[in-house]
Amino acid sequence: MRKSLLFKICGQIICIIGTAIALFPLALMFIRSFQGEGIHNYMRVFERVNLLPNFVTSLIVVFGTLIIVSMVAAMAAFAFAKLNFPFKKVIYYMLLTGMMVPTSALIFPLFQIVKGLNLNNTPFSLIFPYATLNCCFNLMVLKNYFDALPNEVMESARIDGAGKGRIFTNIMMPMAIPGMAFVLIQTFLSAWNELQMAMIFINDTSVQPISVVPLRFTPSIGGQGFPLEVMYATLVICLSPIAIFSIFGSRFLIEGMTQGAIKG
Amino acid sequence: MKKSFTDYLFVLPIVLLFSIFVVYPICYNFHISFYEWNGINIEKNFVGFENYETMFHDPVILKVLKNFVIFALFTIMIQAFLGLIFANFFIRRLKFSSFYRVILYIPVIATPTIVGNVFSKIFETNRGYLNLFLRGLHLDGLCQQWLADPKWALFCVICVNIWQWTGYSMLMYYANMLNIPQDLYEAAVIDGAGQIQQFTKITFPLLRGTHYTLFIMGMLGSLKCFDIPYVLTRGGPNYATEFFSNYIYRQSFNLFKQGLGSASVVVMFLIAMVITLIQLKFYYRNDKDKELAG
Repeated sequence: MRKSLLFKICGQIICIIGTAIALFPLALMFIRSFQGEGIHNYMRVFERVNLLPNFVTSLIVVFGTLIIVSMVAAMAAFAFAKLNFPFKKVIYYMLLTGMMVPTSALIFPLFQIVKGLNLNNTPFSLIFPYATLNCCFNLMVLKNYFDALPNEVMESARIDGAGKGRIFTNIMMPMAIPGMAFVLIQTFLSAWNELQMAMIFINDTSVQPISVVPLRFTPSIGGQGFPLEVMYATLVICLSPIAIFSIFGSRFLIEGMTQGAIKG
Repeated sequence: MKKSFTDYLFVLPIVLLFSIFVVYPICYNFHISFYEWNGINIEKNFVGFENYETMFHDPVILKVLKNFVIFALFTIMIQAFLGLIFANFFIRRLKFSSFYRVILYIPVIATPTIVGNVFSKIFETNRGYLNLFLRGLHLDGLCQQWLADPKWALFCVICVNIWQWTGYSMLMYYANMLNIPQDLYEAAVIDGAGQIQQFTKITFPLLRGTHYTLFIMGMLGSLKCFDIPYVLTRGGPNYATEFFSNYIYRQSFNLFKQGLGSASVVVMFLIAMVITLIQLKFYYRNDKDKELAG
């Protein structure tokens, strides 16, 4: 396709402005975190707040969610794509409505359950709700993926005497790895960044997940006399796992999307 | 019979999770919405539809609905417009476009509370970067109390949301543009169509499915919207940035009017249902020309 000079110049100008705006707040945060005492700002973060329990909570929540989603959603997607049983369509569409359910609609009843089981202030209060919401969201993605896998492989395995469980674990799952990668990255991001449930189910600030920690610095609470530079340094530390993750993960995410994991 | 029983084992876990963590809470809220209850005591009073009546006479809920509509329309339109422009540049292999694409997607994955914190420093009245920038240009007249002024607070929240989610629209459009067959463009060039005509006659109509998807996801996202307004303004000033989620949160956990909170959950849920039904209707109507879009 021929590209006119005007198109190239306009395109570059618009893209440069766009990326500058996209990067500005994050660059600002990063640069400001080194102002004043440079790297010592980061030392002062560790003197003032112990973020380790927060990281532990976040990691337990995220990995628990990932394990449940990868098993439950994959099993269901396999069944909906490759098996035939009564009421299959009805169950499938019912589960898909889980995508549109707002978090606010679930919080109070789930909070009652969590408190009743004495699970509040533990990561386990968040794992199951997150897993459920993400399963509903990713079910469609995975089902589309399994739909595209050839039926012949399954047929020949069945003739060789493999049961459905064996076909699923030994044949279908290895073939579905690219689809799973996309699903796991999506789940990781949404579980790591979720705020609403996390701040209600875990209200003990010392063990709150990382996504809730920055709330301590919002102006309405008063910032607890934190110097601005130290605040920015804390924000950088909180964002760093996502940043590292995105360096490795975003390629798969973009690939997954462009390969049609989500169809418009 | 035994055969289909093992099939059900595959879907049993997800159905169990769904019943406990989605169906039960919604039924529970529906039930509580007919009671007057503070959420703690054992006894509750049955009051019928009184909670719904109180809610619809609450001036705040009107603001919530108004904010939802304004927020949804502006964010969806602008994000889609910008996303389409960027995707169009990237699909034509503008130089450095894979670099730009990665950068534009970074805001999407950034934690909203962190983003909100940084933006609240940008929009701050006295030492905020936006006002400093405007003063630097000697445009003091344009300086505002961005987040403290009811006229501007919603505008700020919308801007931050656009900043965060434009990358997502961009990637959705880009992914679906890749699916448009190239020979359509070649044929158009032979027929003498210019760049603009190619865009309006081929690219835009064939992306109809993506427009719908982004619209529905934007509507549902605006309905659920919680974190950015919560960090930036807490729904203030004077409920100028109050959304459903924050309203329900306040009724349940600050004001202890669980009946009212549950009634608003039911209303919010019904709105979400209506949006989803509209989506399904469009989806099936478009099924016929799906093969055209590839």
